[in-house]
Amino acid sequence: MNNLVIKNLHVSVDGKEILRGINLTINEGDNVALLGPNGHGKSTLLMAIMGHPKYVITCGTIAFNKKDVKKMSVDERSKLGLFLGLQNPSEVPGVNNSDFLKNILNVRREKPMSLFTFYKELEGAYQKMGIPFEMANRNLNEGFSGGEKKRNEILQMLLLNPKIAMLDEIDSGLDVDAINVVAKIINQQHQKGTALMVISHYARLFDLIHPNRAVIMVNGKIVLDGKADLIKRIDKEGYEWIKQELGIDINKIEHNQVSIGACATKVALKEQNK
Amino acid sequence: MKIIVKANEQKEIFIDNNASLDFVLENNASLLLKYAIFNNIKNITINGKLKKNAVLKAAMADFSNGKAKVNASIELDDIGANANWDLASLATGSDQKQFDISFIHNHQRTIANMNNYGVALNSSRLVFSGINYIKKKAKKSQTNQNAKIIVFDQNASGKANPILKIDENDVLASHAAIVGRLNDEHLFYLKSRGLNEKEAKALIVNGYLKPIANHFESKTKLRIEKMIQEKCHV
Repeated sequence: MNNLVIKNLHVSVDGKEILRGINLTINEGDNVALLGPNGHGKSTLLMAIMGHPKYVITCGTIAFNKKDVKKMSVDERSKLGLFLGLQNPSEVPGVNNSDFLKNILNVRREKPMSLFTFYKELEGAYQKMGIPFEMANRNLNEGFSGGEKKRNEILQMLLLNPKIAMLDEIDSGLDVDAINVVAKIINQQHQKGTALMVISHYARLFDLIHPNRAVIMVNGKIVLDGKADLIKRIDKEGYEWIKQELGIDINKIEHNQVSIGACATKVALKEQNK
Repeated sequence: MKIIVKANEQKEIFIDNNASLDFVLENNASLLLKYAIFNNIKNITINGKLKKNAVLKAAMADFSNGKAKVNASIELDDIGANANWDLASLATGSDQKQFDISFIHNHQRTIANMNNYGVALNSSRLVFSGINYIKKKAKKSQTNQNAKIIVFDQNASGKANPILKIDENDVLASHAAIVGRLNDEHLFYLKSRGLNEKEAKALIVNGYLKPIANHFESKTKLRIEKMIQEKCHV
């Protein structure tokens, strides 16, 4: 049984504390919707699990199958079976997409794949994603549209077959048809045994991938961990009711902050620069 | 060295030192020019003239050490002249290398295509410059400049500033010049897919420098690949 156990996790970015004691367990078969207002630490949690050097764990533990994830390098975490589909995937100059994909598959194998096997697998994955195979010959994310980048993330998930897939706003930038395709792939991945942790601001994606749990983060903490019907409620009513029912003050991020694209890290950096 | 490729003839030249070169391609002549520089570099000057329907395919693999300037100036003198230039350069240590590659379209319907790729490590400096000049009356000409440098280390620097100069309206010209610094976000992204630092670096370095090897025969090709491994520690 795969499981990810996070205990009392505190994470700081550039000296500002973003996560203030996260306790969360993700079990095999879980399909978790990670919800919360903008700027309250959802992306930070995923980045910290994956090990981005900017996200410093000041306290607490992360264990995957009882192994101490904190002690591992980023690539070791990936090989262990953690996958993070990024909100803003990097454009890496000069790296050919298919070279990249071949490399990330081969570093997990004792013997490198034959070129033939690789191309067969790659072609299949592109077909499933409904994107032209020619895209494999472009540079990694360079000049890709927002939607193409997101699909390239899902394509990597498909090829790497992780134990836990953390998907950060994977639906933003996708048109309706693309969301349907991506949701289908996510569902197939889940059926293959991959646990999911999915951040999205739109109920549409969750309607398609049917999470079994919804976890709500406010002020860098998890305030609710319950059934999936929480998603519907938040979609209808927003987050205000949490304040009334749970007596939690939702720290407002600055008034002039546009809600799209705001994240706790950006807010922290902004405050620091004041 | 001076070379004249006569009308309708084809020639292939392989140079593995710092030799300068003057060449003329007569009508319908073609030249396959291959430079591979592995040791200490000195200033190199290349001057070429292409006549009617002459074709130049040039590839330069530079894995040398030192301070030098490589100057290439190719003139497209008559209709149908077509020049293609590929360069890959690796600068390491305290190398200071500048590649000034220019194409002059003196006549209508001439084509020039330039691809310069470079990697700068340690405290080296790498510069790609040059002017693609489409002169008045050289209409329906096509010119393309593509210069990309990736800089790895804090003290290394790169500059890519090829210039387009166009005095005629009816032409096709494109221009891309990028100097990228490998940053933490790139590395994190590659690592998050299971590549360690060395593997991530190798992927990038090979992406820039390895394609040039395909222009050369197997012995030089292997030497280029070995050079990439040794000098970039990948």
